[in-house]
Amino acid sequence: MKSAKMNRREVWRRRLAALPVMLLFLAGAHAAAQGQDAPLNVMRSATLERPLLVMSTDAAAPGEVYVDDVRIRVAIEDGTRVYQAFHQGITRTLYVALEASLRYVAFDPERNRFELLSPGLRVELEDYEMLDRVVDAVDGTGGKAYPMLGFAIVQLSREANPVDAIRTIEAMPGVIDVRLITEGPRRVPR
Amino acid sequence: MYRASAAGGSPFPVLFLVVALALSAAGCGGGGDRDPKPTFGQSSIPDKIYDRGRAIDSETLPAATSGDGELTYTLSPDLPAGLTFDAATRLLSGTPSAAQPATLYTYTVTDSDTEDPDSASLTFTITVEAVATVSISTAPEVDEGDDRTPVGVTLTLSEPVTGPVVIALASSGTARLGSDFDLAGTEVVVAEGSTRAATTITPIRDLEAEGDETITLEIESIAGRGEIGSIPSVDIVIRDLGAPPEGEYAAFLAFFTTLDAVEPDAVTLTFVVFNSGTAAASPTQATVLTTTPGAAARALTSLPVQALEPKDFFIGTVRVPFDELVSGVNNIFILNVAPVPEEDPALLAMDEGGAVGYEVVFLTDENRIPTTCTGFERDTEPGTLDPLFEQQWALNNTGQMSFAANGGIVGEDLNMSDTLVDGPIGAGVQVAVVDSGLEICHPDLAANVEPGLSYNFNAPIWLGAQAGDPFAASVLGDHGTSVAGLIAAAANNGIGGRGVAPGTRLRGFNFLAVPDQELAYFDALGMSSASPQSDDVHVFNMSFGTLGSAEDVAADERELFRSGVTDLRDGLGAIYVKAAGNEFNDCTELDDDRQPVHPLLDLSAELGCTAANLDGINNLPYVIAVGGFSADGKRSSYSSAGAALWVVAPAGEYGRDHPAMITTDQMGVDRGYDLYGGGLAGDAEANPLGDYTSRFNGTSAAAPNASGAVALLLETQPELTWRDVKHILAKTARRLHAGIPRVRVAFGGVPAVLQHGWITNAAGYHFHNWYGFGAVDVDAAVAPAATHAPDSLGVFSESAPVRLATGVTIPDHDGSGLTQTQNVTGLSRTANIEAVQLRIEVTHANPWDLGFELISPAGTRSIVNPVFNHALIGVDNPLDWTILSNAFYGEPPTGEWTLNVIDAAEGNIGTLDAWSLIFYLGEHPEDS
Repeated sequence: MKSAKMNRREVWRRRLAALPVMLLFLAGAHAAAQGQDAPLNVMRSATLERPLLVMSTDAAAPGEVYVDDVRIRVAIEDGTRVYQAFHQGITRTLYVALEASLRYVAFDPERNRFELLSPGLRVELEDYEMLDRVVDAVDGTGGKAYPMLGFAIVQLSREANPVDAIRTIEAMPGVIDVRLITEGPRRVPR
Repeated sequence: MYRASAAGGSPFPVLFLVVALALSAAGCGGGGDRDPKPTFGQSSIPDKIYDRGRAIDSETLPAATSGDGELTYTLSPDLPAGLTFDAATRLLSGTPSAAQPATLYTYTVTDSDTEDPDSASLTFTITVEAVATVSISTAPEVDEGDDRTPVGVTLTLSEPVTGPVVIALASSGTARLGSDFDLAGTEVVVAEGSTRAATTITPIRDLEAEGDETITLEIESIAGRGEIGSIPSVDIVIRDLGAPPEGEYAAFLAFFTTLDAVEPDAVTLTFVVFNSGTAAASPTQATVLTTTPGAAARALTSLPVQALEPKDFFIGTVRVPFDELVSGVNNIFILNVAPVPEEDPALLAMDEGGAVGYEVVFLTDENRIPTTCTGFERDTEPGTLDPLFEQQWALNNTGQMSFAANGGIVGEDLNMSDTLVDGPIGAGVQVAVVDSGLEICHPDLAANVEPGLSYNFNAPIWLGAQAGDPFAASVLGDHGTSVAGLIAAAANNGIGGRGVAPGTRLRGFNFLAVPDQELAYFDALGMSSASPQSDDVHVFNMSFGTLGSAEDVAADERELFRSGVTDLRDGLGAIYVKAAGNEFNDCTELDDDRQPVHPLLDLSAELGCTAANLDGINNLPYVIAVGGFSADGKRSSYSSAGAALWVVAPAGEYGRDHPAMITTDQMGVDRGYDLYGGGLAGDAEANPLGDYTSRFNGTSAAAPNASGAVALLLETQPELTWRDVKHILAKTARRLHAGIPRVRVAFGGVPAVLQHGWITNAAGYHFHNWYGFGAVDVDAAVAPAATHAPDSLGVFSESAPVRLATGVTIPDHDGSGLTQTQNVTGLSRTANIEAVQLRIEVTHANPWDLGFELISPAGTRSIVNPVFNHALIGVDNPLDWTILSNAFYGEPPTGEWTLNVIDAAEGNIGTLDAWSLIFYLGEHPEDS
């Protein structure tokens, strides 16, 4: 028998990284387009474990941009915004209806897949008494510390740009770490 | 036996002899024997036993001496047919042709004294034993897939014979012994007096198209009174079932929806479509339809979905103004992704290139979607028996039908008859239902709901919703409400049924209904002291699983559970009870009726398609992964299997042919699982208000039954730690489905065991990948819970990973696989294993080809990952994955551990880059 027999009724194979990722801006948060103006709001980032490319779903205009060795193409087709990432010979596509409430998505070059971002940030602070200030600084909708786990979550409005929020928080004294939160595998009734 | 005689054949010579002897004695002899008599030089002749049809060893009977003149020998009576006696030569010879019982023969010698002939005799017996002909018979052909039902080979004697007959068999033909078939014994013994004996041929499955093969089984030799008959050999054809179909379904569109917003004048739904297959799907179109009961569906919106490549997403949102809906009734949304525009809901089906999802909301006459548990008036009758109790097979299986077409088997339940009479009820135990919602005003739950401690994460986005009321806005069944009823539906209130622990205090967290689950995860599972308050929960019921491929949990998630068992309950540890998964049948190999599409592929019906290790949470030692069993005492047909299971609990089937679970449902006849009809739905007598369902199932049902049992233990002994609870459950679990056979398939001509039958590990625990340690046995568990010394299992510790970097090629399509060992040292000699994690690092284009078996120093074998586990389709390559086995519970960790890796499919060659073992340990003197 050959390998790779396919399946019809296999369960959901959505591949969302569960690991929150640390977002570290490299010099020039916005992608340096190679040889052209960057038409996309693609933000190159890095994490402690792997880099992510973060992009807005409402601000991205059609066009194409390179970030490192990843080519990102955005098009609008039939009422859908189409994101394509070309990397290592593989093309991944994310279709987002224009009216979708999802505001930010990310591409993980290491795992070669798109990630859905939660509207929140994972922060580690020297003193969680300052959490309210952190929330206020990014116009967050709330924040909660999890002392047993050693971090807090800052909730952002769906409109908030997580990259900008990270930049803001990172600049605050007493902040140890800030990361994006990607939506892990969808939990469903079983 | 023999007899010697000096007498002749007539009275006269005898008389003469007597007189002669008398004279001689009187001195009248006169110096010599004047009438010498013949005599034999021996006193006996051995008895003879001959076999019919077999030439005897010719034998010369003894000669006599003395006598007068020539001696004549006779033998009488007549010899058996076929034997002759030559008087001249005294030769007894021939081949007896008929059986004869022992017969006395007289061998006589007579001299030639004509006047006074003398003679002498010896006697002996001759027996001619029957010799049977032996024939062989069997079925002329067998499917190679019939390896669980060995084929009998019968050896038949034509008649009973004296002594055993030992028949040696030899095989030849194109089928190879040991790789294509097994022969139970090459030597078959027919016992004395019997005419029949048997052995078995077991075809060994493979997944190769190699054509029919033949076994010639012949009688090679026979020892004893048997001889080869007219049928000395048989031919058996092993019908080749070929190879499974390949690439038949290359794409699979998965789907989920969330109710993102309930607004004053509209409702918003988001739907996500994902290609979880390995090839591009067809271009599709996403259509949102709406309908009301009895009305035709109308399309609300439609969007083209390009051909989704594997791992591609489509995310859509539809906002539906209320003026497009119908007031005062349920409005059904059908979110359909299909290759062609399709507006007939009856044709919607999950298939390649398509997906469908549903949501139903009730729009009141005032154009509101109810989001709080208000307006439902119900009466209870405290002190009155629960009318549905007698149908709750999970609590007391009497073989009742439970509103299905067939009943179960008496006694296949939680075994809690004693507890039901006067046992614990879960009093004082706080259980959180982390789920889709909870109807806190449900009449069978309200009394047990802890006021103000439930939480609705969607309150900010659902108009009118209250933070303390996780009421489900969708009316297509509230999973959490049904889960809660299994745990703690009130007892003896005159309505419905009852839960396993009807004294438990409940709270509901609607985590599953949250659009952005990551933000609610830690709150719902014990890390929050307010909004919601979850850090005082004793038991978290987690009737959920994950969508996606196998993947380790994130570090924070792992830390969540580790912290929960370490810090909560004042350090005793919260108990996380987790549904193992419903993916047993989620694979290509089963058709829409869950029947194998190819005969060989009922392999999937034995191993399961997608293992419980799909869900990273199940691979953590901190949870109790619960599988499901049905009213017949066997695995629920959908219940995921795997080494990560701890126990099983009642879950049932689908409630149509065979019982599902009876539990609470969303209130009202037009809300909840009632909308699907059948069973209790529409039963005006048993379910007049529509508050109950008889069709709830899934390991979602198994988990709350187990959670209820845990609550009973915690009431019995509140100081039990999370490990105590696991220990007691394992120790007292009831083994069910005894005799389930192992699963074995040949790859590359080498058979490999893909699933063991029940094993008993070195600490005495029974384990099977379908059932973990067995079924939760409440009565058996409650008793030791009362006497168990809390926190007596020693210090819980986690070993550093014991890693071996290898980089060795895994033999392709080879049942012998790659075997490696690691010697584990440096751990306490008194330690007992509580769980073992196996981290595997492999490079392989199709990791689902790979099976992993771990063998402990004590020899316990555990299939930690079965071959063809669909959870591994589409995972990253290289794969770095940590999975867990509970099969070694109680064993010592030190010594040589063996890993065997099988690559079951041909065509991709991979390497085992490294493997690591992580031990979770305690000290259990009773297990050592």
